Parts: sequence; structure tokens; C-alpha cells
Amino acid sequence: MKLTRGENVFVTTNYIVLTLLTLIIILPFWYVISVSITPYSIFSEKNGLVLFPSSVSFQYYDYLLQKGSLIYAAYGNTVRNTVVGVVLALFLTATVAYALSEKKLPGRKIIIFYFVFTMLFKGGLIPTYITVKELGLLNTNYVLILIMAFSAFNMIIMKSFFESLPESLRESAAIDGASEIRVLMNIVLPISMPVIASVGLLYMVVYWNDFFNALLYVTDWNKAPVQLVLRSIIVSSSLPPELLETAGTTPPPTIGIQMAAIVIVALPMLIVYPFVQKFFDQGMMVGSVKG
Amino acid sequence: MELIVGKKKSERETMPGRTMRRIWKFKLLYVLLLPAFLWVFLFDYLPLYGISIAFMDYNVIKGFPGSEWAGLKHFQALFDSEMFRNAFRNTLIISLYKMISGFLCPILLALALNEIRRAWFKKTLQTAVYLPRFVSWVVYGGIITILLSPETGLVNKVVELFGGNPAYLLVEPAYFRTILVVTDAMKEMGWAAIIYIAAIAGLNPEVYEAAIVDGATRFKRIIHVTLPGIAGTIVVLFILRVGYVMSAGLDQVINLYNPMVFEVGDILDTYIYRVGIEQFNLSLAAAADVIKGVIGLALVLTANRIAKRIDPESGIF
Repeated sequence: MKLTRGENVFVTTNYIVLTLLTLIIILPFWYVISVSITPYSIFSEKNGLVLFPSSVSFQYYDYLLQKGSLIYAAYGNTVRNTVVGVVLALFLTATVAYALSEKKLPGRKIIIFYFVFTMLFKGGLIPTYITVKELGLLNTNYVLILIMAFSAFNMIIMKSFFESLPESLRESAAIDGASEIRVLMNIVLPISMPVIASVGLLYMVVYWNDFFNALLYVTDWNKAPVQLVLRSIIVSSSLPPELLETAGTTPPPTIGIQMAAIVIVALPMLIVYPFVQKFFDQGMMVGSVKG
Repeated sequence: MELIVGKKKSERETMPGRTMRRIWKFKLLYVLLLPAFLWVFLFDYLPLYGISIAFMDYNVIKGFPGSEWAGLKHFQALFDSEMFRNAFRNTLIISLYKMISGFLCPILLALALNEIRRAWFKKTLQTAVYLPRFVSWVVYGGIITILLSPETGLVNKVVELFGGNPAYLLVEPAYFRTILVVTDAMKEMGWAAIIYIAAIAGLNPEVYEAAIVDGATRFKRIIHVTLPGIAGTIVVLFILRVGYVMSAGLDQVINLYNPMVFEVGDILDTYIYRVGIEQFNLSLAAAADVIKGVIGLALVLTANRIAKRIDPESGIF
């Protein structure tokens, strides 16, 4: 199709503006990686302006990842919380979503209200804190797995997906109790992979990136997730005492450590999401705004 | 549930039995509901009971049974507190700014992306603009703090390049809200655009073909076909966003603010955190939670009602 002169200007401008915007969004990440692998002498010589490292050094990573570093324990906590948490969250969400997608279920309206009400009104930060404390979960390894394990919003996304499945699947499942579970496991689950992957990713991001629940409920450094350690490195511009103790030598400059810590903490999510992105592009999000 | 009116007595007597049979038929589904039912009870409904501490002088050691009732004392204290009124005001202002930018940016981005014909290029741009959504505010806040730092920060280098004076932007009350709004847009706009991209993809291609035949330029097609086509989605998402005005972005603010900018940057959530968790004044903070929750509930319900009036299919509740 031939473009008119005006359209040509329009299309070119659009390309330029979008490319610039994307660069602005990406540049901070690029800069962080760049500084984290640039030796400090070059960093200060160039007065912080290091977009392309002229020489590479892993001194900051070596420091953070030395033997016995607190980072390992924190990373282990985050990985455990995320893996166990996402499995639990998907289980809790999918079971409710599947049950409520059956329109003939007696009492369905009331049960939906029971779950959706939590989106309308929440007890709030302090009442939730008190509850967690009264349940004896404060400062345990379970609290960060449990506290994020269900979101009514994700349940609605899954429910609308299950509702879009053909009725005949359900009917064949309803013939007798035993085969019902088998149909659920062998037919419904496999064809629901796109929605499970999408919702799973949403939960994964929440678990991996959580720092606020950790800030509230975990006070022990050896139970802390890696985001909390990172926050301590950035906000207080110093390292948690436990990390310093393991570092026999004088630590390298703080700014490099901060940058390297950011890379270490953020990398796994940034590697995972492009692989799951295609499920979002399949358009499952369209139906999900509607309840 | 079906109503049986005017049936013979014998048939009516079997009613409970039939209901039981219907419930029995779906027994597996009820079993499936149980685990999440319990979770929601523990972590969403028990805290509703915890709200009662807002009306008590809650004593951590004595717990619920030993604490004295205090009536509305803590609410009165909040209304008298300049710090609380400041946080309340900031919450509304920051939310409003973010609503406008968080509303316009994703729509413009989706429209612009839709005009890119090269699939690989579009895909690359999309992957890039989604990226910040996948890091925490600890990470993003850390990056911003470093970029804005007075000596080595990249932003100040650019300011100097254009002849300006470097400043520590994060402690300047004049810039803080702007920083919040801009960084929020940079982090979230890509992801927020997904929904509009999907809505545009769902529009009928025949309408575009007809517009081309009628000689509509690309720009005119955006104004007269694409925008009206996604107008419903835009209105509904905007209205639903109004319902969350009381949450101005805890994760972001707590990682960027400092006492120098409390005056313009302290929001209800950070106020509640400081008063409740750091200063351990649990009852006062819980009272602030209640105020936030009640106003939030009213806003969500109103927003949802308006959304339903515009498009009966929409609305979450």
C-alpha cells in the first residue's frame, strides 16, 4: 500500500517516538548492569558516566557472592517461598475458579460474594498484622508463603477461562464421581495451560518481588527474602551486619555493590517473563476484565 | 433455586431431599472450594474482626481480652493530627496525578504500537516496555535513587549538559510528586497497555477496510475507528481506577521518600506503616486503616455502579 506524504511523516514520527520511549525505559537497566561490571577507578574517572564499560571487573559480584554471604540464604528463602507459594496459590485459585464456573452449583452466588467481597473491603494493614500475630505466624518461614497465596482477582481471570470451556466437557465429567476427577486432571488441566501459565506468572512476580510483607512479618535476617536484603543495601546505603561479618576484607564502594545486588535480585524474573509473554498475547486478558 | 408453587403436599415434602441430592451431586466441587474458603476466612475475614482494635486502647501484651474500649478517641486524634491530614491530602493529590498519567500513557502507547506494521519490531518494543513491571519497587526505587543522585546520577549529568545546576532531586519537595508520577508511568505503562492492545486487536477488520476505501488516512482511522472502538474499555477501566484512589502506591513511595519530602510525599499507607509498625501505636494506625477502607469501599461501589450504567456487561461486582 502506498503511503501519502503526510502518512509517511506520521509513520516515521511514530517509529522514532516509540524507539526513544523504549530506550528511555530500558536505559536505566542498561546503566545499572554497566556500572555493576565497571571497575570503580574507571567509574570515578568518568564521573559516573559509564554507558559502555571500557573494561570489565566482577569485584562487586565476587564480594556479594563470597562464601557464606547472607545473599545465599536470602536467595534460598526467596526461591523456596516462590516455588512453594506459586504451587499453593495456583491450587487455591484453580480449585475455586473451577468449582464456581459450574453455573448450576447450588449457593453459587453467595459463595462468589464471599470471595469477591475481599476485593471491596479489606481489614487493612494493622488488623491483618494483628491477625498474623495472633495466628502465631509472625517471623516464621510459613508466613510469606501463606499471606500471598490467594487473590480474588486472579480467581476471576481463571473462572472466566473455565466458563469459556465447552459445556460438553463438564457433562461428560458429571457421569460419575470417579471419572470426574480424571476428566479434571486429564482433560481440563491440559487445555487450561495458557491461563495457568499466565496466572502463575502473576503470582510468581508477586512472590519474587514482595518486600513489604517481609518488612512487616519477618525480623530474622536468616528468614528474610532477598528483596529485604537488597532494600537494606539500598535504603541504608550500608550492608546488613551479617553480610559484613562474612566479608573479611574492606568492601568495595557502595554504589557498585548496590548495582550488582540489583542485578542479582532482578535477573531471574527478567529472564522468565519473555517466555510466558506469548500466553498474555493470546488475548486471555480481554475476557478477564469482565467478571 | 427454582420455586415450586401450588404443588401437592407430598411433592413439597420431598423438597429438602431434592436440594440435598443436588448438593450431593456437586459434592466434589464443594470439596474443591474448601481450601480457599479457609484461606479467605483466615487472612481476609479474621482481619475484619481485628478492626475492633481501632476502637480500643490495644495493648500488645494483654491482647484483645485485656484491652480497654476507647470509643472514637483514635479517630478524633487522627482528625486533630496535622500529619494525618497531610497524608490524606497527599494520597488524593498523588492518586489523581497518577490516574491521569496512568490513564493517558497506556492508551497512547497502545495506539502507537498498533500502527507499527513490522511484527518483529512491535514484539521487541512490547517486550522492552513490559520489562519494568517485572522488577520490584525495591529494585526500581534503587535504580531511580542512583540515577537521581547529586554527584554521579545520570539525570544530573543531562541537566548539567543543558546548563542547569545539579541538585539532589529526591529531597526537593518541589520535584517529589513529579518523580512519583513519571517513574510510575515508566514502570507500569507498558503492562497497562496490554489490555488496550488486546481490545484493539479484537476490533472488526472490515470497518478498517471500509474506512480505507472511503479514503481515511491513518490518523483519521485512529480518531474515527480505533478510538471509538475501544471507548467502552477506556471508560470502564478509568472508572474502576477511581475506586482505588485511596491507595496511592505504597511500594513506590516507601522506597523513594524520606523525611525531607513527607510534606508532599507521605501517603496514608506509609503513615499507617510508620505509626503502627515503627512507632507501635497500633490502635491509632488501625483507625486510619478504617477511614481508608470505608472511603475506598464507597468509591469502589460508586465507580462500579457508574461503570455498569454505561455498559451493563462491565463492572467487576
